[in-house]
Amino acid sequence: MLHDIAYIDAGTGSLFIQAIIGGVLAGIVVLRTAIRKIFGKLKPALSRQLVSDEES
Amino acid sequence: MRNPKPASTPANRQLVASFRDPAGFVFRDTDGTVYRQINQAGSVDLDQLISSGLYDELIAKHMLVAHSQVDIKKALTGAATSVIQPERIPYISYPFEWSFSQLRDAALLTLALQKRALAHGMTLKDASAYNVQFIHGKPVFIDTLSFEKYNRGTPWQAYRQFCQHFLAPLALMAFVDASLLQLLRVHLDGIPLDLASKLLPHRAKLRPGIAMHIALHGRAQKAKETEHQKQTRQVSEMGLTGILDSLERTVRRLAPPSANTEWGDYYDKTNYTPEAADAKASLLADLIRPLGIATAVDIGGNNGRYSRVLNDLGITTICTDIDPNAVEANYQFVKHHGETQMLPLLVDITNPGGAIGWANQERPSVSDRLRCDAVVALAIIHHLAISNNLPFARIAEYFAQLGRYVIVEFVPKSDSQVQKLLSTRKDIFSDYTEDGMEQAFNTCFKLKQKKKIKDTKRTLYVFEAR
Repeated sequence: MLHDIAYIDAGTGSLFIQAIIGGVLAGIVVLRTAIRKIFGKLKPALSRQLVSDEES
Repeated sequence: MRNPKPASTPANRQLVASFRDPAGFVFRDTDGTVYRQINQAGSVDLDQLISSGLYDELIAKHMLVAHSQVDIKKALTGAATSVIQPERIPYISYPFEWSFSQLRDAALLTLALQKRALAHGMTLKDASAYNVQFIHGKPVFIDTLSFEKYNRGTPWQAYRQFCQHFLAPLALMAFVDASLLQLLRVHLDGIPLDLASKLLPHRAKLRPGIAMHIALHGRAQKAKETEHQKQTRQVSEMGLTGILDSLERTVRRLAPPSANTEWGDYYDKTNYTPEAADAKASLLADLIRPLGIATAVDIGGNNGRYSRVLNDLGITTICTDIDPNAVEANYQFVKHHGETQMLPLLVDITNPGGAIGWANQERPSVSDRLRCDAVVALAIIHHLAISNNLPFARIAEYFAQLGRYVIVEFVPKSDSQVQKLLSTRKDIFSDYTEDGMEQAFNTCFKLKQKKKIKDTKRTLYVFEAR
């Protein structure tokens, strides 16, 4: 006798879980990109500050 | 009773490994050349692969096997819209024959391909480890028809396959045991994620990547989907990037298993002096050079010490060993030195992988794939004959199937390594002598040369098939 599970397509659950994981990880990607941008802008300013501190 | 061999027909010239894809299939022409027929279902995607610039980019990076367009008259069936001839792949190996790092590099290649495909508006429709082959020392993707148009919002169809073919076996090797790679021999479409999750220790699941892509993913496969869930099956491009980045981080963080194995430090435990080892290498080169061969298989070649003698003569060598650590060490050496003529593979020659898949034909056996000009069997004959009770005649028959020439190192009973083997078992091997081996090999081979290895009790033989 075929068990119930033989009629469940494993790929279906896989697509559904991607939607959930993808949602969470998309948030992390956005956050990471934002942090990189902020640091990217801060870095030149910080290094300029360090150089001027050393010169003075 | 055996049926007579069928005549060559379109059906039996089609290579069985590619019969599942309606987009096309690989077939062998009557002269042995391999072609790929493209059907209507695959022609649009192939055109996009080329016109988007993705094909050129992947070829330039040596990530995809190159192909050339050939006359459509070569097509095997009427369904063809074009025929391509892929670059020749020297040897087809399977993921359960790879070391940890070989499988990890193949996984990273697949993820890199998917990222590049997305950037060109395409996606990989499958992520089978069988679509990767090692060519000139590096992993290369071989299925040109795996790329299809990416529709915004659709999930990655090959996500589950990637996790089953790559992530699950890598995690099991890293956290449990390297031998669990062999589960791929049983599970043709990769290790089921619920099984992998059961086998992994709790500490593995503390890693977010393992928890998400194996444990949670495995549970989700058993769940029945509701109508609401069906409608919410959308994954943004950012979400896909997040999944791919997470998979890549998880794969990169997995380290090769470092257990001590019997053969991992083999060359530190031999009874050769360094001078005798050098003399063996030099004698081997002298014996093989006149044969003028192009390919060889080194059986029990450990970390490839003597396979490299063959490489130095321009001979492409498949170096097989039973020990995952030895194969791993060999592959690391290949990578580090950029070697192009060495393929390290995990093969137990006393139980080589059989044909698997549909009708036992989808993935041919090791014996069917492992055909070379020469078989090199150095310091292995005593393990076959004494440890495994294999009669010399059987060994000769099998070697004759694999190559025209056989180079055998005979290790006599007086050798300390053989004495070690015999110390724990009854000596029932009365014909284990040089004469015994020569007589048994005489049925399949003629003796070409025989030379003593300096400073040892061992002899190198060269036999040629009759």
